[in-house]
Amino acid sequence: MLSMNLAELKQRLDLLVEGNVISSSARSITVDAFQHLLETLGIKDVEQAEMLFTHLPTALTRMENRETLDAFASETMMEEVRNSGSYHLAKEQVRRIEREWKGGLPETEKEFLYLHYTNVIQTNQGGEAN
Amino acid sequence: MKIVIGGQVEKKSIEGLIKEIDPEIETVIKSDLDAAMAIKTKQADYYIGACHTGGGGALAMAIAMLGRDQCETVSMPGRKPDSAKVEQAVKDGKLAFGFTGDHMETAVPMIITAIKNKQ
Repeated sequence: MLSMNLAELKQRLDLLVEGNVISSSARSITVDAFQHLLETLGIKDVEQAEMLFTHLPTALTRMENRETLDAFASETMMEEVRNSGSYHLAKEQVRRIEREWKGGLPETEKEFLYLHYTNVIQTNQGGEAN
Repeated sequence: MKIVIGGQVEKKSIEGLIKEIDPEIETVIKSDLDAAMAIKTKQADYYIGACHTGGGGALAMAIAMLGRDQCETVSMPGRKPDSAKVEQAVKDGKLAFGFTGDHMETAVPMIITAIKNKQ
């Protein structure tokens, strides 16, 4: 699936909830985050959304279950992300997720979200993804 | 034997690695959802997928569609692939295998060897 609309996202998330892969609260935050991205970019379908919007609910579910992520995005990769023209938009999207999630997100989780968001925003603004 | 490549990243490279090991293995690249469906409907024999963080993208949809008992997380960040565990997973009848993209050069040969040993 190269692009995804809200109905398709909900269908995917419902399968993941039914299969006990993600929690219902992770589902609802993810739907909200997707809608917010659509509004921000003024689009109806998100190109290459699958990775970010699978990562996000599974990461939120992992945090809910108090499982930690040992991975770190490499500093070179993060330097690229911070220099990206869409970094400020990515940060804004992640801030909103944090507000909705209420528990706060660990820095490592946020870095992966910045990475995914900058790629998706660049792709959907017509720019080149990394 | 037919292997469907799902997951989120490195799909072409995974396909290339499988073909390097055995060009006779039939491979097909699909979205994670379609790949999991191919296993469920027996259109393919095994699912292989990778993601960046081990955060679930490699196997999330396969777990949802096939159940956790059919899926094996071969590697995660900080946990390298272990050939004994992969062999056991294949012997146990698991059909879907996920790992982080940076482990693919180790994980793919382990999985393919284990599957071929079982046949």
